[in-house]
Amino acid sequence: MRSFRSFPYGSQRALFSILAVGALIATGACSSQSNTAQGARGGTDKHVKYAVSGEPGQLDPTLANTFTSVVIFDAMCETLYAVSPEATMVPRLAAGEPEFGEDHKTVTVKLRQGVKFSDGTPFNAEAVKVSLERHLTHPSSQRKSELAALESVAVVDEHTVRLTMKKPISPGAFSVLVTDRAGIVMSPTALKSAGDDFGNSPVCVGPFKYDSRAPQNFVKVVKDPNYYDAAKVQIESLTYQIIADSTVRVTNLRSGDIDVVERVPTTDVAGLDGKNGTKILKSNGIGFIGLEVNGGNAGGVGKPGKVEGPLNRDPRVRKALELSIDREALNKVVYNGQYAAACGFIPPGTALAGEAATTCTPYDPQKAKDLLKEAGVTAPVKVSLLLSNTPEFTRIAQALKSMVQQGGFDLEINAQDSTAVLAAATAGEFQLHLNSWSGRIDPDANISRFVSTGSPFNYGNFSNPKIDEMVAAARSEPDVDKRRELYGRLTTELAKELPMIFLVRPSFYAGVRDSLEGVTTQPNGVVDFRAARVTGQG
Amino acid sequence: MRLLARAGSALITLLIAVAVVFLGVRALPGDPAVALVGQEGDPAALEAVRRQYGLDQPIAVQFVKYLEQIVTGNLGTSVRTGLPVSEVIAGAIPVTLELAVVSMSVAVAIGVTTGVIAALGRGRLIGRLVGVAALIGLSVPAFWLGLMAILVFAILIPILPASGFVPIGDDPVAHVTHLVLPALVLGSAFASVIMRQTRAAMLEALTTDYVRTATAKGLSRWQVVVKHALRNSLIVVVTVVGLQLGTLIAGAVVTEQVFVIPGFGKLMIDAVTTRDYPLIQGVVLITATAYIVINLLTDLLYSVIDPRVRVTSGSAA
Repeated sequence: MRSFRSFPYGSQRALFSILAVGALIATGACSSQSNTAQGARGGTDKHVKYAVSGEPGQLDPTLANTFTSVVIFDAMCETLYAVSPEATMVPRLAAGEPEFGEDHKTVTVKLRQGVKFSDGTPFNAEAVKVSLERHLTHPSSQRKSELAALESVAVVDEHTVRLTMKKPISPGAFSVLVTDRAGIVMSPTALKSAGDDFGNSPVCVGPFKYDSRAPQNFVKVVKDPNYYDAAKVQIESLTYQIIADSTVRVTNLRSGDIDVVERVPTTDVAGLDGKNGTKILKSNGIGFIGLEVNGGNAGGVGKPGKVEGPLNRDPRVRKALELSIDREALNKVVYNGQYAAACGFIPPGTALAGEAATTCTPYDPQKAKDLLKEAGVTAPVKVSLLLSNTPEFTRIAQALKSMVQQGGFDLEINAQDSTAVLAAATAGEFQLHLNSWSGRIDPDANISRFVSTGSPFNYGNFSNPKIDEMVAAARSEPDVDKRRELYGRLTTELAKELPMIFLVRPSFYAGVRDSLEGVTTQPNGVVDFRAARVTGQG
Repeated sequence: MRLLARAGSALITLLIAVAVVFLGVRALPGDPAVALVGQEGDPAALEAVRRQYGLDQPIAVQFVKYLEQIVTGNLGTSVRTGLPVSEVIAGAIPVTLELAVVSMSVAVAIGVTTGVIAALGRGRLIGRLVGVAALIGLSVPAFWLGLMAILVFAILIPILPASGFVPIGDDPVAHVTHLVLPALVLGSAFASVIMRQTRAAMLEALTTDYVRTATAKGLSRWQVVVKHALRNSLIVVVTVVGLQLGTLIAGAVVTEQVFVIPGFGKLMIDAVTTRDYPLIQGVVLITATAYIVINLLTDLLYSVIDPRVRVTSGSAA
């Protein structure tokens, strides 16, 4: 063996460099440990691991903008009202139902008493006011459009707030406002001390409180002893493990490394339900996947322009396209029949779902061809479909392409990255846009944003004064029966114009290890761990 | 002097890489503000986000500001998480480095051994078997191999964990067990590359005069193969390892996704998919630096192993 000194000077330096890199790696391996997830098998000692599909982003209720943030907030940041599994509004931090003033411009909310934030700060009307005002005024607030109807918040007494609206508000529209992130109340003490860094260590009221996170990796919450119902919470900690790939999520559930997974692909539902020590929880979604038609966006949302093409020019061509789509077959081919066909924006089985609002246009390719002939259009009609290049959307597009061929359409698939799709949709660079909407418990929030004139989410710049009036009338109607009727009429009117062709209504499937019991799901797929407990079996 | 010149050219390369990535990410369709605010976001918030991250300014201004930042060691703030990019990267790099080094060690151990066996067993069954194994190792996609490994060793025969990363300080045994499957999967393709290179170099070395001389001098077969032929073949292996270490970090992208390892590869994917400009730029800057440093080190290592390189570089200097 040569001694180290026998190497020439340059080589010694090289060896030193290698040793230095080695040392750096060794040091790094040790120093990295503080922000990496625990990888121990899940379901042990009341420490539950929940695989979510995406990074939550900022955990500040005012600034948050991802679905994963909604999932995490459910465990640590309660809202004034919550959504029940039956898609109705139920009080959470509020003590009871909201009281509407006679003109429906003021809403009084009584709050739970004896509640504390996780930092020990008392929960009261002042905290609600501070939170809502922050949502309204923070320059980067993501809640502004959700709270657009809110004018001011007043403290009536220690446990009562009065919200004044800009215009009369229906109970349904109010329910949307207070059940999402805008309804989250933050600790005023933490807001004062952390300011814009509140999201780095959020403090709210919830069964769990924030513990730690590693970006793109995990968020951990632990049981909050200050929670008003702490005695019922049996899980000690909950780690949200970010696993983007659904196959990897499912594999980890099967191996027992993860206890709960969200968004189980429909192809895996049968394989996990009652097998391999796992079970499936289903929640019927209230959102939809649909085709948005570009009727007048030639240069940006909110800037009406002329769009060329028969699809945009003639509602009969749009009707023909709808007639060419077999929704049931689409559901079977793409989702193993695990979703439901969607024929309108109101989910069947909900309080406002009348017959007119849930009637489906039947699949009839022959009638589609006849309609095209009647419209004076020569088949095949070339139509371009803009979509996000996810495997799911790609499968939908491929199935649609084959289906609509029978009705006289030639569908060109334009799949792009999701951010590019949003940019293209906003700029009006599409004929048809495959869009999905997670859904809200009030129908207004599921339709007005897509068809109301001037809505920033009306990518097709659809504009029809009659429909605008009908949307507004249905939104502000307080009587449920009358509202149901109004939504029926609106659905019928929309079916004539077809600014959007509804395709399927997603259901959410969560995979759960048998060792975990008491877990429930909400209509948006969020898993609720308030009553969860580890049994140690399965 | 030679080192100084190399460092200078490395710096220029780095600057070009930074400029290309800076402009490249901005040429991608899709606005990071839109990616951040999301489909259900608020248009006013969109503008606020653009202002907050300086995305509303001309690209030249943004670039100069970015250069100013990186000179002071500030890589900016992640648009998605609001955390400092340097902090996010610092948390991910050691994990990937450890995975890469362990995987490469596995690959070198398997690759060199099988390479020597394949060379010595040329034309025989053993040589062919090793060749086929190498071909399989090269052809099988890491994603599939990873899932199969999980299926076999975590579900069917549950002896290893399926995913995750346990800090060595928390539990040294779990730390090692969590690295076994990812290191094997990541190392398998590289083992094949190293095996093929070792085999080729060994075959060439075994026909050289110095090996014949060594054999004629009466050295044992072991001494001839290991001390003479293998040692001279190792220069090829070192080159491959040097080049592949960079590629290994890229390969870690898939392995980290499959095994849910919070490393640099996973960070890269997430940064790109969420159009997190500061994070993408930070990630590329670090990757480019790593490539340049590793290539520099490989060059230097040549002179340690091959005296001819040392003589040439010495006379050139």
